[in-house]
Amino acid sequence: MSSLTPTQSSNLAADIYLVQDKNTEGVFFEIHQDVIQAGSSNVMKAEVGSRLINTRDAFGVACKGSGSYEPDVFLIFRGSTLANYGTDWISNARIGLEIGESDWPVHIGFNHIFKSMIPHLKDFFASLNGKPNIIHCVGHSH
Amino acid sequence: MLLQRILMLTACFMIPAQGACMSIPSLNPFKKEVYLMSPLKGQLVKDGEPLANTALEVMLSMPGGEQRTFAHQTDKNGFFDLPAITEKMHVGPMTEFAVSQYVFALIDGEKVRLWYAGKREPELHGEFTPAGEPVDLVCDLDAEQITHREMAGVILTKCKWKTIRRL
Repeated sequence: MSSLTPTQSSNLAADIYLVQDKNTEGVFFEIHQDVIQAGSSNVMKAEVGSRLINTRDAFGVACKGSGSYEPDVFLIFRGSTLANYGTDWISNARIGLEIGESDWPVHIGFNHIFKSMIPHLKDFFASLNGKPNIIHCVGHSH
Repeated sequence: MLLQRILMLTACFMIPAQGACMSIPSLNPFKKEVYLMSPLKGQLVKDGEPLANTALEVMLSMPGGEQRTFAHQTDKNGFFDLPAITEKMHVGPMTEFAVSQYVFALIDGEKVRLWYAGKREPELHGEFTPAGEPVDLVCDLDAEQITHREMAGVILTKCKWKTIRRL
């Protein structure tokens, strides 16, 4: 069992903010090639905003590990950015709780974003051969 | 209806002077000038020889995926002087600034990446931590790419510098 070092975790959590398109996704995998495997990824686009103003934006990456992390998978998420005229903060402003997928109360804005990514997560896990050893969940938020 | 108006007003304060709220950009008191890319001066070489009059392309990947490109060229001695790229935008304490910069040399119809920086601080020369300007930058087309991990951000480059002049 290989845990990520604190430095690896924080670098992944910091650099995922830079993933916006195919070019930046490629650079992200180049930088972190000792941990994650290029070509194994599924960029997760999430619906952010509200019913009035919303858009779909790259919100994270699901990918296989590399090197000593090869049997593992990684789910790496970003926090709020300036993207799309601040629609992230419209999501954040959707305060209040609702029951999430795991039957626990969840912030409405976050739950909306997460639910919009579930099809990407399902596609990614369906593409794997067998069960991963460890699922590393990495991310940052204020 | 009232809720819709409040939401729209909130959105207008949060977005830059584009899109739906273009008519009232001055209402946003939180916008400030940020450096999407700091000025970058150096020399382009191959096999130790300067590459004169070579086309360079600067590309920015903005939050949300928008790409912006800028054309430049080295002088007769291979030197380049890429100007700062700035923009007024709202950067709040709870929002992450993240812009990717690329500098390519266009050689025989191919793009060779000389510089990539993931800029995570909006200040001038925020590519480095603490903020600083590379001195005597030389970008060798044949050099191996080196990764410089900064406290905020990361740089992958074929360029080397003698020192960093801290601001």
